[in-house]
Amino acid sequence: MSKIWGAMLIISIAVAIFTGNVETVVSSIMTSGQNAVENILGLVGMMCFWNGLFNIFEKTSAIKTFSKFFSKIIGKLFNKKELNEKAVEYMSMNMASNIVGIGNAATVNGIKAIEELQKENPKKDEPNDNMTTFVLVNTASLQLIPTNIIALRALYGSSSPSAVIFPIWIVTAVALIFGIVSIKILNRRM
Amino acid sequence: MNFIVMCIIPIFIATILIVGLKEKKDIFKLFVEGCLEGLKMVYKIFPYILAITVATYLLKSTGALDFILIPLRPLLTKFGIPDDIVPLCLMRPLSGGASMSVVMDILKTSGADSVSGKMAAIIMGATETTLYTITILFGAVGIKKLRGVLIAGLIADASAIITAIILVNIGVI
Repeated sequence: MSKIWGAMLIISIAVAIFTGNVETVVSSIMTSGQNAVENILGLVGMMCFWNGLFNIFEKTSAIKTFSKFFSKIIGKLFNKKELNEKAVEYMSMNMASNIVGIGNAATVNGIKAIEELQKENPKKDEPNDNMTTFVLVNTASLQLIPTNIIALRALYGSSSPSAVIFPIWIVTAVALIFGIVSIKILNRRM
Repeated sequence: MNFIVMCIIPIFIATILIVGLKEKKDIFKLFVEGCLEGLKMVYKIFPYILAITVATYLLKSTGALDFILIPLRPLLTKFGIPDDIVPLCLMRPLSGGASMSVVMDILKTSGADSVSGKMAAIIMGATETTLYTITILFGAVGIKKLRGVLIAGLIADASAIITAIILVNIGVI
């Protein structure tokens, strides 16, 4: 990230000097600084609201009902021999939290799950197939309702902010299928 | 169809509140506590937003972006890819905060219902910060060899970006 960010700024400044409009550099920094503040202020309310709502959800039994459904999928996607009961439990909680969009809970359960998977892993410095598959599933965005995106679209005047939900589901599904197929192939070769 | 989609969020909110009340939880207190967490999250991502807003703004205002995109130009026009999507595609797997601010910038300057606005929203919503996720999870158990995870994750991201571009260009949304 440092390299990309640094390159963005340095290239911009170099082009500005080269083309002779050096004043734009300083004025752009000022305007964009203001923009950044406006952007974040517009988002604060919605982010707080959804976080508050998901905090309620997290403390109810609904999340457990949800995660039971995932333990069935896990049995099909992963190698059962190297899977203990706790790992399945944490993995399903991780997926359920991802689906409803509780990022913090997803991370906590994800870490617990990978610790359980590591216990069944014979080579400690190299991930086994279950671990690579689990991490891959986590790099996919499983979130059912992309609240931040919808909030942003509403903020910038979309006529139908939630119209992206359906396309986002399709795109997520495509990405997940490509990802799982790739990891299953790569697991055999690498 | 549109009506059903619009109902998803309100029904979801109502369901959570009803389940909470039914199980006799202090939903008001839980809500307020969660809000505070949200505020902390905003506090944490602001520096990213500032860093990237300044950088993308500079790239555009100085004309550096046009300069960089010259070699890609034929490819972009052929497949109907708007210029402002390119920085987002490069940044998405690396940094969530950074790509969020690129999306904000696109929605603000091109409009939420513009072609690039829709593409940006779909790409942002359908992908994760691949590198960050891998680092956190493998980092937690001290694994340094990645095997195929990074490649598979990036293949997934690329397929998401391509699908998003196709969906918007054929007018699904």
